[in-house]
Amino acid sequence: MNTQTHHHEKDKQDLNKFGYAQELLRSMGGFSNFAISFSIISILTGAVSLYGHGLTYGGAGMMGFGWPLVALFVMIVAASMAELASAIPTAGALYHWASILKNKRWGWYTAWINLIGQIGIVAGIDYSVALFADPLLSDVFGYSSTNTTILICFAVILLSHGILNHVGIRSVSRLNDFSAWYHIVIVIVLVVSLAFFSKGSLNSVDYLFKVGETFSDKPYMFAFLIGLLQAQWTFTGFDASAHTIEETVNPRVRAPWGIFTSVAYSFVFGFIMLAIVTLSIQDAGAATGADNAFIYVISEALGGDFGRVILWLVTAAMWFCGLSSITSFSRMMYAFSRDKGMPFSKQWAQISKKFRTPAKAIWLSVVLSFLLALIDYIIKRNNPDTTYTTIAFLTAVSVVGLYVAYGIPILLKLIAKSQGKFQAKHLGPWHLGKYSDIIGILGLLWIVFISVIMVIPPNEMAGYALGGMIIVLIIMDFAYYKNHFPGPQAALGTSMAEILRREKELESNPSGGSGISHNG
Amino acid sequence: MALGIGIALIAVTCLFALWIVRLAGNNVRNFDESKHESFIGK
Repeated sequence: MNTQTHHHEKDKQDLNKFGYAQELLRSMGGFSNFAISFSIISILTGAVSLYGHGLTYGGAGMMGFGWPLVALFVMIVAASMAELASAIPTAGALYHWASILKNKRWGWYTAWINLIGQIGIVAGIDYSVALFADPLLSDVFGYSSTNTTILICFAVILLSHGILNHVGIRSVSRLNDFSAWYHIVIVIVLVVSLAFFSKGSLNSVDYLFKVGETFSDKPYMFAFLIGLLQAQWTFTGFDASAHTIEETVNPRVRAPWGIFTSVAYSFVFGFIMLAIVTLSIQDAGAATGADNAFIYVISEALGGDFGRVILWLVTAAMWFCGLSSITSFSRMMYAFSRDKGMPFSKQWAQISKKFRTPAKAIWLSVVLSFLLALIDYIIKRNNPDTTYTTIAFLTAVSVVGLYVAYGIPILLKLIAKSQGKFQAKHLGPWHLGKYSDIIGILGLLWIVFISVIMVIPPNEMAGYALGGMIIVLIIMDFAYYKNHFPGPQAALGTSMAEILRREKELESNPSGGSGISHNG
Repeated sequence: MALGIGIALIAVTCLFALWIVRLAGNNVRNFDESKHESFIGK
């Protein structure tokens, strides 16, 4: 038996222990697992699309201080999550961890909060692509870019991601691998271009750490905290390495590395990119006053045509980011539906026999993300005087939703450990040893801190939206799911014969048919 | 002053990342599968 076959069999047995059949195609290697998180973090999406936000509130110092500060604490959170991924390697990840560490209701709330964050992140990413692509397309085709054309562009981008994700994990996995290299190459191209064309006019390094200058009407310290959204939103989505864990070979080692190293490498390359872009700013006031500060800075530094080429390359990187985010979102929804946690769960848990992908969950991800942006579009159309930006709204929703969902299992693991339920023998190969608790506590403190920061004015609309969604969840819970959600624990009762039957059914019919669903 | 603090912050962040890589890497290498038990909440 070769090493690969041995890993496949061991990974399948590990999954079977939790009562689940190996339904998804397990073909992702370590780099692919890293690549999907690195692509969703996408320094060329978050850091770029919210560059104006960071610069407006925190000035140049936001890039010098804000980025590494946020990165440090996000790495602390990521390390705690990586440890859990190694211990409990199932696609449900966050919600599955919460269910097993405490009970099914904690898991149910974690899943929904994570889903809300995932809707926000997919919508935020693809809306960012549209915000960059639409003005560039309007230059080419000679039309005026408006909120309506941006929304149409957004819908087309979502559609392209839905189709590719439906067609198969192999092609998406290859594109994710390509995306990781693409991000690195584009950052290098951007850095070299700016260094070459701006070498005579670059600011001194001191400028990168300039504090006290804000282009908002808020006091500097307060403005600086609001500006942290730029870095904090960029560092989201690394749970994708855990959501694709049932498609990864040797996941107890590779998924945790994917989670942690995707954050670490994003910090390094993101800092290099932000540093050179910020050092090439000639007039920060004019940049923050422009429609898009990043486009303004690049156009000023590199000139019209070359600047546009760079912006197209950056937009393509954002597109890759959106592709990966739908993969992650749909896997989470598939796992949650497999445990009957959503309305019409049976539908969303279906696997396409032809492509071995959760096809219906993929399309639901697309529809929900579009609806979130559509609602915001309608609100703005009826209230043209609203002051918040769509991108800040979407990103704040995703940051709070995702980080609260990241924090719940970390908290529950600390509690389970203090009660003696979770012991050293339960840890996977990737763990933090005696530093596990202190790293977990620091991560939780950061999550509480940023969850508050992200919903204070001017982002209070995100707070209202999240509050409203939590109320709906509580109603759903008490009205139905409190008594009817079986949770992942129910799967433990699945017989090995039933698990093998499901696996055989998929293997014996690799093409044709619309899908396989979960019974009973 | 701000430059010094900023560089120190970046250095701390980099050192933290390297420390975690080393810590977890050692633990992966020294993992004993025979002592492991899946945590299934029971």
